[in-house]
Parts: sequence; C-alpha cells; structure tokens
Amino acid sequence: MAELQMTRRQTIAGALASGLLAAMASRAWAAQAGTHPRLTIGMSGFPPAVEPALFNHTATRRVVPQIFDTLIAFDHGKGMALKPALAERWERLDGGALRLSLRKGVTFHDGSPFTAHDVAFSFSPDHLLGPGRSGRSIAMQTLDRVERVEVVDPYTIVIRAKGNDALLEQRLAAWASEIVGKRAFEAAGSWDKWSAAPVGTGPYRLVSQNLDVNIVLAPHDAYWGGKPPFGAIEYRIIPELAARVNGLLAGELDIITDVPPDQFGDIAARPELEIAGGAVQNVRYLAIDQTAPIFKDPRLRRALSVAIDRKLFVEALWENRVPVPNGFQLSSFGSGYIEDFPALAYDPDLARQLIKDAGYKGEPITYRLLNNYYTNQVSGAQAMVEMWRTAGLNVEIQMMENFSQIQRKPVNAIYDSSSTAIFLDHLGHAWREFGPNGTLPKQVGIWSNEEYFHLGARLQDVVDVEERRKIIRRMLTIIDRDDPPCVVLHASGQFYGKRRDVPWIPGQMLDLNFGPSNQAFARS
Amino acid sequence: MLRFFAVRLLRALITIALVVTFAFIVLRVSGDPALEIMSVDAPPEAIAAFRKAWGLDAPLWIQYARYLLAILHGDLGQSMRDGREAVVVVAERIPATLELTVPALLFSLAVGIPAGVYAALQRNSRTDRAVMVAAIAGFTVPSFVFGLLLVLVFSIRLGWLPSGGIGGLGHCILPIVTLGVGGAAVLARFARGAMLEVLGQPYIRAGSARGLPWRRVIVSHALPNAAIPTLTIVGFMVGNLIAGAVLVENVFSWPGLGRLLVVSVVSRDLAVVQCILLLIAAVMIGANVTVDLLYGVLDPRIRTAPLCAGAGRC
Repeated sequence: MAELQMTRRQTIAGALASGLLAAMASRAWAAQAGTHPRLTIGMSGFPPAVEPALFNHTATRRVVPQIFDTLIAFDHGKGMALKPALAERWERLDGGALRLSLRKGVTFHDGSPFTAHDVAFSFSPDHLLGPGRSGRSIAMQTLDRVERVEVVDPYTIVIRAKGNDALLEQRLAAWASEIVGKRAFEAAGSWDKWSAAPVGTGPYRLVSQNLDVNIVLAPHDAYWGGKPPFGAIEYRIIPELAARVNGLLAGELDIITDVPPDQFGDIAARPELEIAGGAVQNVRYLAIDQTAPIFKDPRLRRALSVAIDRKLFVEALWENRVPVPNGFQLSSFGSGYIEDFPALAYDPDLARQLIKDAGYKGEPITYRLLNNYYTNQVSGAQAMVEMWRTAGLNVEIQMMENFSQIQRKPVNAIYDSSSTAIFLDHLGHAWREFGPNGTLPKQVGIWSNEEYFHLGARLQDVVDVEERRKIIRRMLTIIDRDDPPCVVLHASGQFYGKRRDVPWIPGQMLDLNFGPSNQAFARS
Repeated sequence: MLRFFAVRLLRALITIALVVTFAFIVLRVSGDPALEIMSVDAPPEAIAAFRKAWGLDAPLWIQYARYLLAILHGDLGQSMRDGREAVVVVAERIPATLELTVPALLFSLAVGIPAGVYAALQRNSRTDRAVMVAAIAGFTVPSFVFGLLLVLVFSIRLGWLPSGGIGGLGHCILPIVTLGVGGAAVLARFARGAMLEVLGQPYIRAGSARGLPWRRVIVSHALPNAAIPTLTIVGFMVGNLIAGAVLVENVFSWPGLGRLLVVSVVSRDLAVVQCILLLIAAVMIGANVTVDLLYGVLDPRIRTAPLCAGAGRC
C-alpha cells in the first residue's frame, strides 16, 4: 500500500486550499438557498433530554452546543486550546480559584439578560444534581471539584475548587458546565417542564422535540457570537444506517451521523457528497476482568495487548483514518501529554513469552461482544481473535445484547468499551475509567490498584506541571504494563456523510457545532 | 352465547397476564434500564440514583408486585425514557401506525383476494402460474429487503418519492406498498386455495347442472364459502397490524408503534413495552372475536350449531 507523505509546504498549501474550498462552499450554499438555509441532519438516536447536566449521551451532546454556551470553550481548530466564551477573560487567584469576567449584553432565548446569578445557579446543586438533588445527573463527572461560585458583581464571579485544581479552566469548558437560564428554570417549575423546553444563550433555540421523530431549532438572532448561519436546524432521528444513507443519497438530508468506513465508498462516489470527520477525543479499549482467575497474572493481560497488530487493524478496518495513541492518553492533553511514552507495540514473540511465563495452558478466554455497538466492533473482534490465536491465546466470542449483560457478575471476560476525554487530561480520561470511582473499579468491580488510586488522588491537588507529568507517567505505566486493566486499541473515529456545499467542519469531540464559531464560518 | 364470550374473555385475560409476566421477567432479567437510559458512560452514582428513582433497586418480585398493583389501579406506569405516562407515549403513536397499516391492509385485500380468486378460476393457465409466482415472491422476499429496493428505485434513482420519515401523502406510499405486498401475496395464495377447494364441492357441480349461469354460481355459492378460510387469515392480519409494522417502520423511519416498541425494548422501558403488548393483545383478541362473529354471518350452520357439541367441552 502506497504511503501518503506530505511536505510541510504541501500541508500548508492543502490547508489553505481546503479553507478556501470551505469558504467557497459557504458562499455557494448561501447564494443557493439564501443567507439562512435550513439544515437537516439524520441522526441515529433521540436524546433522553437536551439538558447538559442530566445526560452525556452522544445524541444529547450533538444538540446541546447549539442551545447552550459554556464560560470557556475548546477551540477545535487550534488543538483544543481554551478560548473565551461567556467569560471574556479569566485569571487565576491561586491554585484553586479563578476569577472570571462575564460578557455583557448576552441574552437568553427567553430575552432575559445573562448575569453572574445564572452562572451561580448553573453550578449549584439545584441544577447539577438533577431532579430533587437526587444525583441523577452526569455533572459530577466534570464538576465534582467545584466547591462554590461567588458572585462579586453581576458580571464578575470567582469559582473556587475543593483544594488546588490545575484543571479548573478545562472543567468550565467541559460537558455539563453549560450555563442555563435561572429565570427560565424557575419559571418552568419542574424538571420535566424544564427538560421539555430548556433555555440557554446558544446560537439556536429549541422549537420542538418529538420523541424518536425530530428536534427542531431556530436561530437565536440576538446571539452574542454573531449571526447563526442556518435559518433552521432539524435533527431527524433515523436509527437505521441504511435509511440514513438512503436519505443522504436521495438528497433529503444534508448531513448524516455515524457512518462506518464500509459506507465511505458509496457516499464519496457521488460528486455532490463527501465524508467528513476523523479521530475524536475518545479511545477505544478492551476492558479486562482482573478478578478472574485467568487474568490474575498481569503478564497474560499484557500479552493480549502486544499480540495485536494495530497498524494492520486500523488500515483494514478504518482506512487508516484513526491514530493509535501511545498509551491511554491523547496528544491534545497539553502539558499532561507524555509525548515520549512508549508506543503500543506489536510483538508476537513477546506475547508468546509472556503467555509462557504466565503459565497459560490454552484455557478459553471469554470475549463478551455486542453487535456493532461500536463501529466495526464485530469485524474488529474477529480480527483480534485470529491475532490472539496466532500468539497462542484461545479467545472465544460470546455475543451479548447490552451492557447490562456484558457487565453481569462474575464477568470473567474481556469486553469492548470506550472512553471520552471529557477534559484534556489524565484525570478527565483514564482516571474516569480506572480511578476508585471509575467504571471498572466501582461500577463493574473488575479492577483495582492502590498505587494508581493514590497517585490519582495526589494528581488532583498538584498544580506544578513537572510534578503532574511525573505522576501521570507513572499512572500510564501502571495501566499499560504493570497491572493493565485494559487493552488500548485506537482513537475512536466519528465520520459523517454530508453534502459538499454545506459549510460545516466537524470538531474533535462528539459534540456538533452549527454555530458561527464552527471552523467553516470562522475561516470564511 | 354469553358463556361462549365469557370463556373467550377469560382465556384472553389469562393470555394477557402470561404475556405481561413473561415480558416483565425477560426484560428485567436481560437488561438494566439504568445503564441503557443513563448510558454506560454515566457515573456510578448517577446510575444508582436512577435505579432508586424508578424503584429498580428493589428485589424483582417486589417490582413485579408493585407493577401488578399499579395495573389493577389502572396505572400502566411512566416511560423511564420520556417521563410521561406510558399510555400517552403509546397513544400518540397509534395514528402514525394506523396511517400505514390500514391502507396497507386495504391494499392487501384489494389486490390479494381478486388475484387469488382469478388465479383459481384460471387454474393451471399462464395467468394462474404468473399470479402464484408473484405471490411466492411477495411473501418470500423479506419486507425490509423489498422496502430498501423500493427506496433505491423510487427515491434514489428516480427521485419520485421520499426515502423515509413522516410527512405528506408521498411519504406513505413506499411503506404502504412494502407492507401491503406481503399481505396481498399471502391472501392471494389462501384465496386461490380456498376457491379451488370450493370449486370442487358437489354443490358447485349441482348449481352448474341446474343450469345456473357460471357467474352466479361463483358469486352466490363459491365466493361466500371460500370467504370463510380467507376470513381467518384476514383476521390474523388485522390482529397483526401493529406487530407487523415493526420492520417497515424501522426501514422507513416511520414514528409509529413498531419503532417505539423496538426502541423501548432496547432501552428496557418496561412500562411502554407492556403498554404496546397489551394493545397488540387487545387488537388480536378483538380481531378474533370479530372473525368468530363474521363466521356466523357467512355460514348459518356455525350460527345455529350448539356451543358445546360432541364431548360436551367448550
């Protein structure tokens, strides 16, 4: 297979050309359908609620950024650097406190002005803990370290963390930190009514949501970030992939989500259509039940990892469009990214040696598998089973219907999972899976490592960059080599089929952004 | 007659109770609504709070007892996915499903029965063989394959009709045809078979021998007698109206009961699933009772026969 190599000059020229094309497409779209054309998106699932604190479903996250803003935002076009949003600027008061100056003249969809009181309410237990402060919300995933919000004046706030927190700014840009309208929330009177008609400051307001049918948005003309580019947005719920692809091919949809690589050819063959997207801030991995007798020895868990030829895997199943990270981390983690951490090796000889040293005698290893919950899941599993067989591991697939069945105890198996970096740091990623309150140790109960837990607890209070890097390196080593809870596969990919003349560039998260801050419009 | 209906009703109630119990146990044992609705990526505390809020943290038998008690009070529960009453969620989907299934049934009747009768009257002719080949093709090709084929031709190639979703008349055509063709094929085969059997009966020969016009023999004697077995199939199809729409609604992204059932089963939204099952059972029972009554109308022997003939069992 020919390898694509580009010089820096070619890369810059390519970037300029694609920017120019995006700008031309933007103008062509506007000229064709007026300045505010309607955008129709074929989406696979209906969000359980369009409320940022309650759910982090992919479907929820695809709608939330249109309706709500955060104080600080990730700039997807600049390596996920932080940029001002509802907060014009911010400054550190100390290791655990941040003063933020809020943007003036911002209005919510109901016309009420945005002030510090809305921020205080958004970060209060009344909002973050969900209905009746029951804790039935996902907000504490990102905001558990926020202690309180102090209102200095209507446009100045101080946010204090529980102890030091190097990630406080990132938390304010992450999931669940969107600002909701206090007045509208109180006027709704109940969570059910609020969820049915949430009010934010985002570029679009909610017009209607019909269970399993569609969600319709209209532009918020007073949006502080510029005029929303689309006159209306309709998310049509189309769970079947074939129906979404047909809708795109028939010209009824402008964008479709969740396109697997085996559909790329059919879509890209049409001159008016293209595939967009790529790797997102998410890692696909295989969870391992450390408590199972067969996996007591970490060498066998490591053998599972080194027996996988990830280069071949990604080439064959993902057309080389997703990278393989070096360890359970992503290159966007800034100072928390350990760039010289060893790459995930493919070493069948080492795998055989580890298997021998672990005293493995060919006992069956169960692989609990869902039917393509993740893209390419089944074909990927079949490929890995063969790779493991070559190395001497006897892995047997056991099909399951849902995660309840996958995680039923005793697990005694390996199974597929994925992890989104909800903020760009080890604490927003691996720690969420493997920390003491994480999925594997707490929810499923199949892994624990006291050293890892201790290091993570320390990391939360450390602000010094070098000290943090030292701790993170050790934590990565534990989960990669010393006591692996998982096998890292590759970065996840999110791909979309779209009309070429629709000016939109997907970001690096599962979130979709159709506002004026999307790169397509920022460029033009 | 009253006893006849009482026995039928009792059987129906026992069937419904068994279906509801079976669905409760299977859905609860095979999946956790908290994980499915909150998502596997939600923090463990949120999942625990969800379970507590919906009473999923109680032992299974207590959940079942609570569920039965609520049903006896006329409360079919709330959708865990939507928060609204399950009855409301289900009721708002009924029109969409009827919008597809009723025209599809009429299509099946209008095409299938005449085709079957005509094929029987032209037995062993080319027309007969052509109708039967079409009928076999109609019910052997799965509806989702046929639906996708129609979309490929009429939506993607020709651009005449929408590929899916709900909207105007144009949106209905492909799903109605997809749903109706299978039914028409089944009816054509049954109508042909029933008609052939009747045409071989002595009273048909007697009618012809008496010098009655062939058309009158067919219309007055053959068709009413052939209608009885065909009616059984029609009754089954009416009873199956909702359940039969599951595949087609998913292929065409049609927001009806079939699609709601699939989504609710996947997310283990038990109250909604049970509500739909009850509705399907009610339609099935209603259709069967109607068919029983129509038998009496079509055949006086059934109307006048003693209910507990023979061994004395009903």
